[in-house]
Amino acid sequence: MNPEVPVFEDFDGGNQRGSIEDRVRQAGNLIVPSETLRGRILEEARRKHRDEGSDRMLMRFGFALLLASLSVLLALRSNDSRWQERLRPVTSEVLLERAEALGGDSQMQQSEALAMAYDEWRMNLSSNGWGSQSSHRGNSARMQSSNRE
Amino acid sequence: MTPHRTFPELIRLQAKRIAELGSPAVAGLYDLTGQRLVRFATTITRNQHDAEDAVASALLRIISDPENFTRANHPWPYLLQVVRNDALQILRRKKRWSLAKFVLGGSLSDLICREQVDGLELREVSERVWGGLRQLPTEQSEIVVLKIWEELTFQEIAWTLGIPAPTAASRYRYGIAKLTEILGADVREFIHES
Repeated sequence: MNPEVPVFEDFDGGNQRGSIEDRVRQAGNLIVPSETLRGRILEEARRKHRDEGSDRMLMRFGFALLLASLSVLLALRSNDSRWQERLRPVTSEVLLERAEALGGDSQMQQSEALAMAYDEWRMNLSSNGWGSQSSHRGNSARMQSSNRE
Repeated sequence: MTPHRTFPELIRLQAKRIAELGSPAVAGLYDLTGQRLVRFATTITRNQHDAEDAVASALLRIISDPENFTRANHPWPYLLQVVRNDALQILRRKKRWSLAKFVLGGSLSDLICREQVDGLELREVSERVWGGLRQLPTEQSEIVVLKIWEELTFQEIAWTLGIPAPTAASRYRYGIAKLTEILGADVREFIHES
């Protein structure tokens, strides 16, 4: 720290100055803060603290939500690509072609061949974890019985 | 046994506590400095209510950014500077500059005074001093307050107010000279008694 700047070298009446300073010093304790000031500041500080806490929590929650959404999105994308690559969605044309191929070999009725083609596709789905075996069997049985009728 | 700490050391300790514990630790800082800050701010705003607003706003500003306060080389002048800035801002906002300067010059009706154990006489003398301080221009009265009540060096006053140290010293000299004029009769009485 720099040395104190000298003052009052040219100020006469040192006694008077000294007594003024003393009196000002004594008057320093005259006023007190109002009783509510401390409470006001503390309340505001606590509110600020609470707000900061909830802001932090909200931020963490938002971050967790973002991560969860991202992982769900990634899972959906990989599922979709798996579907597209390995189990291309069947169209009526594909089923008809397959039914014709099956019907041509064994002279079966067209509806029965169509049911078999559909059955085949469902089997493929089930073996790759899509759809349930029981529903596939149920559908197949229903189709076959309706064909016989 | 706890070592005896100086006032600036205690302030630094409180600054660290606020940085570590967060906003609620401001209670310790207020208990340590509240009265001093209010009386300093009152010399600027010329109104204790506004001064308390300035102190509240300054302390909340401190807790919202405790790092600056902790890093300050001279935390007590830094704190006084923050309070002063807020006091000036309140003055500007309320456009009370002229009102405070000219209308409320000598009135003390806004002050909340301590019940003096030393009696009525000392209270009267103190009120005269406060009245005298209010008749000084703010740039002089704030230096008188910082020098006598806060016991800052002129260099610390210069940091607090952002002025050169010789300017602070000369303003103090003029302030005391004017205060001597204002309280002249009282002082002569005081010297005679002592």
